[in-house]
Amino acid sequence: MKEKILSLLERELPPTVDLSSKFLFSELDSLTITLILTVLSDEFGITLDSSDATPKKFMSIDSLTELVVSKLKNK
Amino acid sequence: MILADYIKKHAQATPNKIAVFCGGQSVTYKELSDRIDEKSDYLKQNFKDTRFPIHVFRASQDAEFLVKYFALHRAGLVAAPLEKDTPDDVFHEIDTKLSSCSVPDGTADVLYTTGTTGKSKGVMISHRTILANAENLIEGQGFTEDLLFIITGPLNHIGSLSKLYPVLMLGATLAITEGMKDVSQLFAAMDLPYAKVATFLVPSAIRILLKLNAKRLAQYADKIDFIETGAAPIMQSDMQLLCEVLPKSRLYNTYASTETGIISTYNFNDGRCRQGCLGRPMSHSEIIITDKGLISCKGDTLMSGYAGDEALTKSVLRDGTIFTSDFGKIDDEGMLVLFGRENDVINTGGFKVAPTEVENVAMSLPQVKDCVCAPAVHPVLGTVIKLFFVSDDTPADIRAIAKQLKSRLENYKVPFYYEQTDEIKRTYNGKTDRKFYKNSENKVG
Repeated sequence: MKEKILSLLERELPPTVDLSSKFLFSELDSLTITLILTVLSDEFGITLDSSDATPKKFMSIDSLTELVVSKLKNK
Repeated sequence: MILADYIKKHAQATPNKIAVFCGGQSVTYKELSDRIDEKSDYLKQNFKDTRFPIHVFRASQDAEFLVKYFALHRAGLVAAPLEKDTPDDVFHEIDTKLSSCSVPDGTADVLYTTGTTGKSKGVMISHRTILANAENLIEGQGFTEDLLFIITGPLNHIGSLSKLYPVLMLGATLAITEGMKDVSQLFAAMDLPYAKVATFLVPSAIRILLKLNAKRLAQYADKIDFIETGAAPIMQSDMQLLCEVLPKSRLYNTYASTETGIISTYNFNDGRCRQGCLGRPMSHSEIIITDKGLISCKGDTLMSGYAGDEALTKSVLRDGTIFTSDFGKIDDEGMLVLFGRENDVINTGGFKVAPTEVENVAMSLPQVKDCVCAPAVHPVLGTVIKLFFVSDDTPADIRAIAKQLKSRLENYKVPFYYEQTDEIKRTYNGKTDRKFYKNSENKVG
């Protein structure tokens, strides 16, 4: 799952975003956050909104993976 | 009278009224006015040489911005707020240029923009212009003293900065958020105990709200007095959806720029939702369409000129008229309808970017032999910037190029898409064939 999300975001986000960052949230602006939420919603058929865009959930690829997994469980 | 005087007037008449909410704190009119006075006294004592009065600073997104901005005005100095992420070398370049620049009497601000000419430059705004913009907005959009106006964009940008004018002239209340990165700040501001709220959102911010927060936004339908958009074209589908989500609110699309000020506005929630329509000229403004079909503007909201660049000023401002690069017409109802732009400026997320500025920085990188910058369409974000480049490295390290550009340009100028190509197409006389790249299939990187 993590590899799939990483590869998806590498394809969809601008190359200025360092996806290996330990604090990914600080790398992102409002548009890239929207983009991530949209891309993950569309790819996994889950519902994400701006309440999911917290620094904790956007800390790293690992935390984003946890977010997707938990949304899939509650689908 | 200048706008800072209105703050003092409200501090005397309604000292305990909240002037601004920000970061969980509130500042009353009296507190704001006192802080402006204190800072203004300091500035007067320490900057006595008013021949070169421009003070360059990075715009913060808080009450301290208001204190600094209005203290400079009250001290007879000129505010030049830059983007908060302005790289150091860009900051120093602008600071050096403006520090030896004299300005006409009555100048309040120098605002940096790409705008009409396609080059980054400082637009001089007078106190008279600020008051005319305030009155245009009060009359044109119905600002009232019981309104809470939420700022979501950068305060150095005319879109948000101009909203301080009517709010503080009337003694209404501001809520300053850090932007749309954390949308909960916008909704938290809407939850403040005010019967009427309003905000300005660039089209990409409206897209963010509609894409991910439409249901939540609809919960505030009775409270949202109006939303204004502008600075970039908004998609018809977004306009219609916003009308459905907020059926009772006034939804304005405005024609404005740093150079022209606030010129006209149209409430598209009128049952017709006309795309490209920007309404009738406001009371301080006049619109004339030139023989070439370009929009020109007259009135008290116009800039005084470009700081330190008389020749550039004359290229757009002559006989009290600003000649823009926007094509438009006045329709049968006397409303301005916008068609598009004449020049190569790229409008991304409400910011105007001169492709040559990005290309010049890209060309200074050792990996880039040739390049061209063009607009591209992103399915979610709308118009973004794409860099086509030639490099000896095969393949070139796009991430490294992007990072170097980011270190030398403001964030909104950094290309989103990159494409390595064998050559850059040129016209017969050697100029970059921008038309080819504008029209090319560059929808995805």
